[in-house]
Amino acid sequence: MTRQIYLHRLKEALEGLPREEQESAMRYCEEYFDEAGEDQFEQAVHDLGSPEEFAKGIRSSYNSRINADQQESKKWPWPLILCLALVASPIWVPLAIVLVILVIIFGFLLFLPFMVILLLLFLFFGLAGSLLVTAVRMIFVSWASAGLALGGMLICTALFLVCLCGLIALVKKVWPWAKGKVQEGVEWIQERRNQA
Amino acid sequence: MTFQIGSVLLDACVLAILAKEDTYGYRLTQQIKETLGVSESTLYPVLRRLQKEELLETYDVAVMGRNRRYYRLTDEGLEKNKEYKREWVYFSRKITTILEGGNLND
Repeated sequence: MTRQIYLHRLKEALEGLPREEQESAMRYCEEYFDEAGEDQFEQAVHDLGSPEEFAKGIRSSYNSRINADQQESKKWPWPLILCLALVASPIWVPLAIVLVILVIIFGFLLFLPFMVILLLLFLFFGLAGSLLVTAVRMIFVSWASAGLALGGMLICTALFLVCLCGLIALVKKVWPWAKGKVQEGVEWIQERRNQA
Repeated sequence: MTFQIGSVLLDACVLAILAKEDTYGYRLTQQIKETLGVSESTLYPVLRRLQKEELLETYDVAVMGRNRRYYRLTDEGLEKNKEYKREWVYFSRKITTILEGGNLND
């Protein structure tokens, strides 16, 4: 291999790197050959390795340097973040308040059916219980009143069971949906993190 | 060479050689190659990195109708050289102790 061919191949192998990196490496190589002299040229090529090998070393060193720089610049200093947060507060504070209100409303709407059914459950349970007590107490006073209370209790028990069935059906329906939504959310966050 | 030389140790050697006197690429690598058995292809990236880290800088001297690029340490490089030397004394003492069967806690 002649000097020209070596340098030509090195130039090609260095393509894609910044011009400054290319020039510095080319210059170093040329100088190395100059210093070695013509009679030591073979030894110099042996020292440097093939142009491709030489370029590979430069490339990987350059890449790790760039990565290190990027990681350093990614680390934002806390005072700067605080300053930015303060400066941007007129924008994000109202936004955050609106968001919190929306979440509360949404949560309320989501739990409203549950709350109504739970309320009815307690109501019918209480009514059935008190009517039963009334019926027992009325047995010795008035058969008719006791019968009326007993009937009322049975109706309330039936309504209680209907509400219980309704609650179970609702939970069964909402539970997988909520689970799916939560899972979707988790996946979305993971995807974003992977992309970053 | 029985022992492999790591990149930090190589940095330390390059800085130490340049702390003694400014020198140019070919001569520097000949010196390092003889003692450490490191190939030239690994040396250029080391020089380049140290230069980018501003531990050393270059200047050109006209020799026989062309420019020879000399390397010299910056103040930061000198500081780093001192640090490496201190660390090396500590580290090599520990290694020697282990190799000679001594106890590190003594």
